[in-house]
Amino acid sequence: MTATDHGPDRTTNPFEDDEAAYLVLVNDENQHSLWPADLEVPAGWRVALERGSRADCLAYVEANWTDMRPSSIARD
Amino acid sequence: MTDPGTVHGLVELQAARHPGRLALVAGDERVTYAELDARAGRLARTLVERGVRRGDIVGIRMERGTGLVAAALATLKAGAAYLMLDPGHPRERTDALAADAGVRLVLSGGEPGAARPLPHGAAAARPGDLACVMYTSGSTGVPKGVAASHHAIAGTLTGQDYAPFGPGTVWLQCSPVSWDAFALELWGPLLSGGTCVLHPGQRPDPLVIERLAAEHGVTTMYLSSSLFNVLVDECPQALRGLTRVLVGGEALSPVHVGRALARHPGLRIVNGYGPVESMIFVTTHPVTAGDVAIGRPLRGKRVHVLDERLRPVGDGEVGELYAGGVGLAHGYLGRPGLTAERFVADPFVPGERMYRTGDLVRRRADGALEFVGRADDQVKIRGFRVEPGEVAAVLSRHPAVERAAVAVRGDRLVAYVVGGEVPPEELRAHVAAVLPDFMVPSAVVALEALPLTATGKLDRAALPAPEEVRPSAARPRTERERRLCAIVCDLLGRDEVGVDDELFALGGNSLTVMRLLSRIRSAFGVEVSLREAFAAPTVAGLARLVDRAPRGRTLPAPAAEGDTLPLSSAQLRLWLMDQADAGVAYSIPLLVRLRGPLDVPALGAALRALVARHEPLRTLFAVRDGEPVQRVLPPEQAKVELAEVRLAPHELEDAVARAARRRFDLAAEPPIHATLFTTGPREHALLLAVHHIAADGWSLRPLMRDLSHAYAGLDLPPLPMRYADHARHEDAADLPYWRDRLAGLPARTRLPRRPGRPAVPGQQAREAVRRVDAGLHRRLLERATRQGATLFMALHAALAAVLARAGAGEDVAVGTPVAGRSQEAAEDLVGFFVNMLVLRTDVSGDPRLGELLARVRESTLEDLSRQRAPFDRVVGELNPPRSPGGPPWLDVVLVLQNNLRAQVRLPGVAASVEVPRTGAARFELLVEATDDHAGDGSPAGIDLVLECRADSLDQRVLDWLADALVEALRTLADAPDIRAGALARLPYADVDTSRPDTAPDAGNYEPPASDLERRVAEVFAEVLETERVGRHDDFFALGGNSLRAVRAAARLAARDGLPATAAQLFAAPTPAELAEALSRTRARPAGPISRLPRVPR
Repeated sequence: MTATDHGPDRTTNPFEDDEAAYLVLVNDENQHSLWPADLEVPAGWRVALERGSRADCLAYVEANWTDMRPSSIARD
Repeated sequence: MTDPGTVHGLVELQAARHPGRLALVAGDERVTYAELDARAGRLARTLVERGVRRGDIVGIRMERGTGLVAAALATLKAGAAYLMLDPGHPRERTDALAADAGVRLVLSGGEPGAARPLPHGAAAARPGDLACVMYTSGSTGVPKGVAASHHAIAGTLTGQDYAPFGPGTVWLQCSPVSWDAFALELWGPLLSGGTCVLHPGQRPDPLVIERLAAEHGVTTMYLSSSLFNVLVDECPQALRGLTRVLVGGEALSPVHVGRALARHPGLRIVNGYGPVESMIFVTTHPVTAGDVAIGRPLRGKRVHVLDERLRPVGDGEVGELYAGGVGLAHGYLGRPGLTAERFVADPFVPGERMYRTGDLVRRRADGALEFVGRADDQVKIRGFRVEPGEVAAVLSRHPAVERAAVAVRGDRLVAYVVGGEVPPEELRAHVAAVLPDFMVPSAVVALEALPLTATGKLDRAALPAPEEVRPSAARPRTERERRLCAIVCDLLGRDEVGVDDELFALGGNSLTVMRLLSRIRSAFGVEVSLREAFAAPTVAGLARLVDRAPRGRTLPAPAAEGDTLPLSSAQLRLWLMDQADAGVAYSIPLLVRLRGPLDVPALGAALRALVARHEPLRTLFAVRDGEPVQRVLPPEQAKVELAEVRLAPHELEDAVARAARRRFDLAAEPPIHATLFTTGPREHALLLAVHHIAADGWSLRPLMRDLSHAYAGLDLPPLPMRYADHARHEDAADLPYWRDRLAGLPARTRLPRRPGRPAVPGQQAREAVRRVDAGLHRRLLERATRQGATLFMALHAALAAVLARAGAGEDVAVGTPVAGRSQEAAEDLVGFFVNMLVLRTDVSGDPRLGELLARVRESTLEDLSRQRAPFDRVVGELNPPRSPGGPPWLDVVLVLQNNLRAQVRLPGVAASVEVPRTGAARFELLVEATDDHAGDGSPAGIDLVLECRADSLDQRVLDWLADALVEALRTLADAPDIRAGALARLPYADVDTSRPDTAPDAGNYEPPASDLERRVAEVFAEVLETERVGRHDDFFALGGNSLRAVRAAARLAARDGLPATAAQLFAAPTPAELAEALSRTRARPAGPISRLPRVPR
């Protein structure tokens, strides 16, 4: 196995905090985004998964974002 | 209909607009847009027949070449996306990537052809469809495929201004095909009508880059910053001729930027920043040594610099860079989770995403971004993105490894392993079997345990530095190995290396090998290929490669000895002049006075060795099928022998003068004569007369040095390149510049000429000699330095002012010779490389002399950077009226000679070299300046020699010009505010300052007036493929050129028995004049005047 190889603390980035709570956002193209739960949800995105752990959110994305093409293309 | 927003749609558009334009160059292959489109169209049909559909991914595992490009384009035409699988990477890895991407099929060479191409638009890809997948290192141990759309490529490469892509631009594709830079270098030009030159092999090789750049007139390149540094340090000539170079991938070295700009003032260097996730570049910045920022976003792209709560940080504060807009990838292929954590919602543009780059930057007050560092562990190794975690994951798959970590030290990857005893070579081989070479650690450190921080993470700071690998005991056995060891030590910063040590084990990497190959070329005159060196990365292995390497591989496929080859433009001009019976002025006599016990047989042998080493000294010139050709004789057939003459001391001067004037028959004998005059038992004088077609001023030093070495019994090593190859690969990239620069410049200069002079002035010379004293020399240098100018520019400005006062007008042309030895390899060659540049000076508006110097500086800097245009090609391009007086624009020529002297050193014999003057004037007015310096380098005065054709200018006029030049120099140095118009005007009224007649206009047809004129006119008409030629119609005005002149002369001689030469045709370009000229004889030059040899600079 490898060591926990995360080097210098990356908690300065709001997407890299394993302890924090996150949301899953989705836009009109069915593109998914991880999102820090304590930040305002940007315009043009809706919340697909309410507040959960980082791992839960990523698992949700893996399970639900199955066709990664933007939906405008997938419809073409 | 193909969507014009797709990559292939844009290429199809170019093919429809400009079918015949050159799209690709690869080796000897040239592929036009129409050919490329058709070829890709046929392959696309085959792909569709094999089941490839829109949305599929096609793997391409092929050597770089036109087939690879056709395959990529065909894939897009079929509606699929391509995945480039580098054939230089381990098969296990590329197979894993192909499997991960779920490719429909892999194209691996050979082109399964179809009879008919797929019609454009048959597969109807849309701009948003995937165009390519590019794999990059993944931190969790698995590489990730970045999936990018047509729109991402097209939007990044069209409608942008960070680089030129359109017609006339020539790009080099040398980056690894798996990089996004591949898309830049290939699709950049192909989407916009430019040309792409393909570098052979998988790895960029600096020597190959240098050669391709020169051969194909490459204008633009992308280089990773580590490759850029190697080129600047080892092969700076590779950047010559480029108008723009884009550098990126890693932080730029200001020192190297400064060096490159100092050497290539016309070059623009653009820093390009961007991760592959946002396609090639996000921001670009034109850089200088003092400013290597990453700059501002491309059109259609946007950047945010944000803090840990995604708020914009203030100018000057460090934040993480987020990139959005055009170019953003769809995401990581088949990795939705990973995609959702890196491509995140953009809080500033509704519904849009932004990519979290992990790069830390700060925004300057002027808006440009500066790179600060990484927010995570990702590193760049020689331009490749490497996640240490991916390498550690592979290491830990080795059965004996329990835990592993990987860190970067300097530019090396170091592996730290915990577990059983495994030899480092075995672990390196384990990694190399799976990962490309840039991911293979160069050192392996065995640890008891990995150091951890209090929170249980890897404590990188506590990782020990790897122990220096001790060189093995194997000492060099040969001189060659000794020299190679010295080079390797220098490159690795070590005191010693063993001949069997692997360079990579000692800390070397592919960049070290690149530098090494360039130095091997300098040291041994041979080229070893990157591929060969990688296969034998030890001093002993390299020494074997050097032994085996064919010499002179600087240029491709050198012509074999004995073949006939075309002449270079400069050779052609001299050959034509020689044919015109002008011979003597084009002979360079060198007199070596020798005192002491001379070994005459050794001198004869040295002469033969000299001729054997330098092919131009054993080259014959002949006309074949109306074209002049050159043929290099094998050394044993050259038969250049030392003629021995015994005479009394008082007879020497006359004998030397006679020998110096001896003509050459270029068709029948080598262009060198050697005579040894013996006037006493220990008193000799060696006269070497070399035809200018075989040597120039720069040749004298290698000539004399090699003669000395050979006499002393030293071996002369083979030369790194051949003159004939220079002639074959003549570079004319700067022709368009000169076409604009010299447009409208009259071919002849108005000089105060003698009235009633002959139409064709004889070659007899007259001279005026002046001396600028040390004080004025120093003040001139101070003046020039203050204005950022050189001594040559000061001389040029003063000369232009004097010519204007002598009636030359306000638009003054002065010619000057330049070395023409663009490749360092050419420095040791004897041969005629020199080129003439025409410097055009605007003296209008009665400028102050200081202003005039500023003007001259400005234009000369630009002119001197545009030397890739043989003078004769410039003349052919602009086609000014020819006249019998001499070549256009070269009535006045200025030369600043260098004090470096050609020296002969023979053991036990005192030797001094002189250049006896032949008394023949080479130009109508030649101003030769030689600056002297005292032992401490301080200015010691300047010799000025003005030489003119005696028929053209009176002695009093020449004397006046010489005095006026000294006066103008004094005024420039001491009173630069004085206007040019305040200098004295030529006091003589009985001179002719009208522009000399150039050829009469063609137009009014006048039939030939004699039988001879009729025969000449008929041959002209034939050669020019025109219906009829009148007796006053100018051959060149009707479209004639040098080669046609040779043909016309050959036909006149062969069919009409007329003893015409092409050069006569130059001097007398109408049937009337040529008919008259055919019976004319020429004046002979006078006796020699002794002077010291100088090397022009």
